[in-house]
Amino acid sequence: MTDDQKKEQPPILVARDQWSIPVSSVQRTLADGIKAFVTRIRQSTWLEDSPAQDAEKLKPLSKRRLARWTPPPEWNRELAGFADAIDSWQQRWADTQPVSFLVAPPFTGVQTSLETLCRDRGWKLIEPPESYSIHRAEDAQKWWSQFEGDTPWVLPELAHCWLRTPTGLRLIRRLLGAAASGELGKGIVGSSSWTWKYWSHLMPELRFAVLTPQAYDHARLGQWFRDLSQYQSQTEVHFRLTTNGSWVVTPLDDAHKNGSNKRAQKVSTFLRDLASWSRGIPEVAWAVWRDSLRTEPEDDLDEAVLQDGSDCEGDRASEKPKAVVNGYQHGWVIPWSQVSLPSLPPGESRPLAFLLHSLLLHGGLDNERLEITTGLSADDVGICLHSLRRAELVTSHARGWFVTPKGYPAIRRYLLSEGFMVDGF
Amino acid sequence: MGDLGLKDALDAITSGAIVDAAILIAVAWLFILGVQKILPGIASRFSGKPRLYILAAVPLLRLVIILGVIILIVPILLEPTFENLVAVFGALALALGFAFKDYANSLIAGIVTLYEMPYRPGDWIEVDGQYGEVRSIGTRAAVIVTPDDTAVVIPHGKLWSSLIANGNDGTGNLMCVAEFYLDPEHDAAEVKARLRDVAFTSPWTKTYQPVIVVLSERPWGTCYRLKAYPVDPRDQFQFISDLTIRGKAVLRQMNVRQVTAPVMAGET
Repeated sequence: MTDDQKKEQPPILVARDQWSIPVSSVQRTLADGIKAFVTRIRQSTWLEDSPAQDAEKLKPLSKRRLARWTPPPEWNRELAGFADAIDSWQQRWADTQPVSFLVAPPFTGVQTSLETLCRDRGWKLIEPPESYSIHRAEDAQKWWSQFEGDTPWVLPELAHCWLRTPTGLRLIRRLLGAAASGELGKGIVGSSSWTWKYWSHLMPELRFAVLTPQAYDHARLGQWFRDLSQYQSQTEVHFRLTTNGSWVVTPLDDAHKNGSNKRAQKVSTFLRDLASWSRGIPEVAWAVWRDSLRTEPEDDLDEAVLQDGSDCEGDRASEKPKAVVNGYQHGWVIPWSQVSLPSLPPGESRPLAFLLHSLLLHGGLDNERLEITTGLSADDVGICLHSLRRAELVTSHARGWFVTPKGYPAIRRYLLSEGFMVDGF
Repeated sequence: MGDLGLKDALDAITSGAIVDAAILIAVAWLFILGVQKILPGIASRFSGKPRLYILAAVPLLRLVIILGVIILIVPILLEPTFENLVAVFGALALALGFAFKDYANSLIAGIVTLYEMPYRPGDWIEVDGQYGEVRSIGTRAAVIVTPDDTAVVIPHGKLWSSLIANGNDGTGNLMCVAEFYLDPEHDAAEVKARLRDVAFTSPWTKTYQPVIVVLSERPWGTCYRLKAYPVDPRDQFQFISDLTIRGKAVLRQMNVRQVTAPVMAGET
C-alpha cells in the first residue's frame, strides 16, 4: 500500500463526538419511510406459513460462491490500525484516564479485536464474571483479583458484567468507580453501545473519554466488499446491479484513478442505501450484502465445473469458468428496493420488545437470565424466542441468544418507536 | 325575520340546489365516517409518537371536511351577498342560541380544543374525577376510556368550567408514582438508592427520562414516592405494579418493614 493510499484510509477508531452515521439521499429516506409505513399498514400477519415465491430469474449465490465472495469478516486484518489508534488514545489520556473505554454498536468486531490485541501484547484478559459474582459483592473477590498486578488488562465486553436486576448493577458501578479513581491501573474496557447508553442514564455523572469505531460509509463498504471477494478468489469480481448493470462496487482499476477517468457506466446508489440502512455497522451490511447477490444460470454451470473439479481433481478442474472474462467475473446485485429484510410484528408486543431490548443491553443472554431481566416466565421466554427465531430476528449465540445482524436495524427502529432506550449509534 | 331578508334569501333556494347540497353533505358525512374508522385502525398498528400523530389527525381532518362543505354549500344554496349571509347566519345564531345553547357551547368548545389542545387523542386526562385515555375527539364531545375499559363521554363545554388534568400533554411521557410506606427505623439513604435501582431495572422504564425518589416523614413512618416514566403511557398501571413488586422484594431483602394503617371499625 502506498503512502497516498494509506492517507486515504478512513480512521478505524475515532472519538465519540467525531462519529458520524452514513447519510442517505432525501429521496431514499422518504421512500424508506413511506415503504415502512405502508408495510406496517398492509401487514396483516407476521410469520406467514406459506413459503415465499421467488419469481426472479437470477438465483441466490451457492454456498460455495458465497464463501468465496463474501467470507465472514476477519476483524484481525485491521488490527494494526486498531492497535495504533488505541495506543495514541492511551497516550493522550494517560494522565487523567488510565482506563480507555471503547464503545461500539453490536456487530463491529471490537470484542474480537480487543481479545486478539490482548493476546498479541501479552496483556491480561479479564474473563466475564459468573452470575453469583454479579449479584453478590462478597463472591466477586476472585473476579476482582484478575486486575491485580502492573500488567495492562483488557475487559473485552462490559455488557457481560451486569444484569438488569436490582442486585445486578453493583459490579459495574464498582468497576467504573475504580476505573475513574485509577485503582485498576492501565487497561481497556470494551462496551456495547447499548450497555454504555444505559449506564450513562443510570450514572449521568459518567464522563469518560470514549473511543468508537467509525461507521462504514459507502466508499469503505465498497472497498471492504471488494477486498473480501478477493481473499479467497484470484479473480476480480465486478459487482453490478441486476436491473441496469450500473456499478455497485467500483472496479479496482477505477477506484484508484481520478474521477475523470472513471468508466462511463453509472454508479448505483445501492451501497449508499446499504450504509445508511445498516447505520455503518459492518457485519450488518455484510449480512444484507450476502443476501443481495445473485448469479446467472451459466455461473451455476461454472460452479458445477468447479465443484466437480474440487471433488475429483481431474482435468475439468483446471478449466476456467465461462463467466470469467478478461480476468474478472460478474457478481449481480439486486436493487435495494428488492432486498428482503426481517420485520417485526405490527402493533405493540411488550414481551417481544422486552426480550429484544434485554438481549441488546447484555450482548446476548441465555433463557434463565432472560427470565430474570425481563420478568417473563420460562414459557413466555421460550414462546417469544421461537417466534423471533422464525422471523430471523434472533439466533443462538455463545452466551445463549442474540439478535441477528440482519435483524438489528429493524429491531433498533422498532424499539425506538415503542419508546425504549436505544443506543446512540 | 322577514325584515332581516331571510325570507328573500330562502325563497331563492331551488329544489335542485337542495339536492346538490344534500349530496355534498352525504359525501362529506361518508368522508368523515371513513376518516373516523380508517385512521384509528391505522393508528392501532403503531405505537408511541406515530400513533398519537395519526389519532390527532382525525379531528383536524373532520374540521377541514366540515369547513370545506360549508364553503361549497353556501354558494349553491344562496347567492353569497352580504345581506343574504347576514340573514342566514343571524337566524342560525338565534336558533342555536335559544334552542341548542349547550350543544352550540360544546361545538364551539370543540373548535377551541383543536387549536388550544387541552387534550388530544392518546392523552391521559382527568375531568371531574374521571381518569382515562382520550380515544376520540368528536364535534361535540371527547370520549375517554377509563382503566376499567369504560367509555366516558365528556362534552367539550367542560373546557369552560372544569379543571382538566393532562398526564402526558401530547407526548409519550407520563410520570408514574409507586408509593412505599416504611417503618421509620431504617437506613433511608440506602433505601432511596435501592429504590432508584428498582426503577432503572424494570423493563417497563423509560430510562432516558428522570427517575426520582422522594421521601417524607409521617407520624406513622416514612413515605417513599418512586417516580419514573413507563415506555408508553398505556403501560402505566402495569408499570406501577412492576415497580411495587420489585420494590417490595428489595425492601424484604433489606429487612425493612412496611407499615400498614390499622383498620378502624366502620371503615371500608
